[in-house]
Amino acid sequence: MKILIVDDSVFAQKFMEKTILASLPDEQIIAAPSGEDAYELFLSETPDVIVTDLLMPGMGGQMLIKMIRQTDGICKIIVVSADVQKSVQDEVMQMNITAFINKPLNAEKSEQLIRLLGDAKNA
Amino acid sequence: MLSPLQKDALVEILNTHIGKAASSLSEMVNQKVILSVPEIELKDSSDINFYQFEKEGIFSNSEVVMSSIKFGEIFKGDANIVFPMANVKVLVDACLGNENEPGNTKLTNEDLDVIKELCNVVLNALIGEFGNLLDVRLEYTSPKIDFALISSLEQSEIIPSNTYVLILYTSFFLAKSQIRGLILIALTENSVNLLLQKIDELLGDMNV
Amino acid sequence: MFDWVERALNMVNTGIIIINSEQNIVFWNDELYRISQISKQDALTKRLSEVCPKFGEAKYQTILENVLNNGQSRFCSSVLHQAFIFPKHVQQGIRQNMKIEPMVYENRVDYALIQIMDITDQVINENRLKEVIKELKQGYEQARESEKASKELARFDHLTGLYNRAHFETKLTKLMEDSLSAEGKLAFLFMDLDGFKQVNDKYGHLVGDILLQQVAGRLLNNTRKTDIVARMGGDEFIIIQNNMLDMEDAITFAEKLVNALKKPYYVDNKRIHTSVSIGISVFPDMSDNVEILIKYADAAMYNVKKNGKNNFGFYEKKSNKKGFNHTILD
Repeated sequence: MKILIVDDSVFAQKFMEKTILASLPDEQIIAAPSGEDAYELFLSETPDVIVTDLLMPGMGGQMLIKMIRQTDGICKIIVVSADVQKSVQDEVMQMNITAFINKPLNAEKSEQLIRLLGDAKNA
Repeated sequence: MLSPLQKDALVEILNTHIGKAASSLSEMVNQKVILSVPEIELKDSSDINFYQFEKEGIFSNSEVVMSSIKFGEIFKGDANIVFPMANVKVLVDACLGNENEPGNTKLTNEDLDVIKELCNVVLNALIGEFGNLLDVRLEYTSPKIDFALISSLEQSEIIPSNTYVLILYTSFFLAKSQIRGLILIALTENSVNLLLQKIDELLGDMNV
Repeated sequence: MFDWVERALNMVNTGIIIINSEQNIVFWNDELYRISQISKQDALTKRLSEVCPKFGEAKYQTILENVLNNGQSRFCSSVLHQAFIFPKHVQQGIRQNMKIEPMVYENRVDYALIQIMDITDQVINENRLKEVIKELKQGYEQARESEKASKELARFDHLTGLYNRAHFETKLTKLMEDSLSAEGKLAFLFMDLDGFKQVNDKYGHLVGDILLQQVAGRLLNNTRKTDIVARMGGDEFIIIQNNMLDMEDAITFAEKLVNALKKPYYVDNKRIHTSVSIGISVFPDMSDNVEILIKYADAAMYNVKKNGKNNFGFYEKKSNKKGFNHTILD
């Protein structure tokens, strides 16, 4: 399974990579530091799952999801964000995403992420 | 003073903390609120010259609104959030959904109350999360709020000497407004070390 | 024993509540009774949210927990929260600021201090002041609007919306000044409707008025923004064609107008026919005086009327002679 991680923080990217590989060591992980780069990778690499932050400079997460969903209604999208406002969550859930996880990723939320990825794999 | 990796990690952590403040604020003002800290610096207090903030429009010979809390003991410091006076009116109007009349910078008592609360929420969220990050218990003084003219503000009144200052360039996005402010967290040497240690620990965990 | 401290706390103008770590009320001062009509007896030992339901909301529970568990202070403004403690059924209009702080003793937070500051009067006064300022502003705006409106009344013909005579003269003066420095000339087209009196007599003044409006509309549709279109009164109109380069220009223009105005009109399900007679003079060729130019155009129009109407003609110096008539071939 190919997983694309999108976050402008290298720290957050690496953290998620590490968390995922610790439980799912065989998955292939690619990363992008911005919405624009992520979209290019989405087109060239066709990942199965996209794990993305929302608040990024330039093209933010919401715009990225919108663009992806214009042509691909199938790939799984998981949002991992510090933005916990209900209005934002509602907006994003409308775009057919699998889940919305709040940062910071503690043990419990990391488990949730792994479980979701596992489901995506077996789907 | 921060390596690029440390900076990246700290920015990520701070943005997560401040996201909680945005959430509380959004509940109170019934609109979407985005708070972001895109840029930070860590400097020795003696290396700071307030003229560097002029590009943010702060401390360039105008009035500012400043709110501060002190915290301690294990992680000890002084946090100040500073807004140029002109920005305060814009911010308050955005919070309350009022029409902003450019040029009208008169602050009413109500405006002051709102900004007082706003600063309170933001500082609490930030410093509180530091406590969680470092796994230490913090004690706080009651928040103070001041309005001052920069000419009458001595640098040492805001930044105690012999400290290290974490400078957070902060942006508030509300309605159609973007308002910039500055958060200055002056820390003792021990506290800075504690913080950097924790960050290195997290980075190390990831073999970065 | 007489407790001066307790006495003082009961005298201050701020509501003071002390709660313990379980959020039960252990102190309730007299000011709170004044604010809420809830007595000490009814408040003490009860859970805060039981006595003041607002504190039961999730938002405030989070705040209280933050104070009691994390030792943080919190200020809540009346602007964003309105009020916290009030008599049953009387929340409207009450405004309070609130401060909650931990009471720390030996590194533990056993109690929290809640201060309620009633600022209803202050808010009422501030709002009143804001209202007064708003009203003053509105009054000023209204005065400006009505001044503007009466100025406009003075400039436009209220039936057709075209410039009235007075304003026409003002605009014309300006146009003439500009024209002197520019390449083109100005053509004065003076016109009135043929058989308008009969229309009024046959169909009534209301229909006559609507007809005038339609005529005005057609005139406007066939002129440029730089031209002046005015109603001189009754069924008399005048158009100043700006930047007229040669006679051909004026002829083409006049032809266009005559053709446009002779098409049938539909008013109130009636099909009405009328047409226009146009007399034309040219500035500065024929004169540089407005009154004279209008007189010339009027004379030219009179000629057109005498010669069959539904046409246009230029002014010729010899007024007895048949003027330069141009017949439009259908």
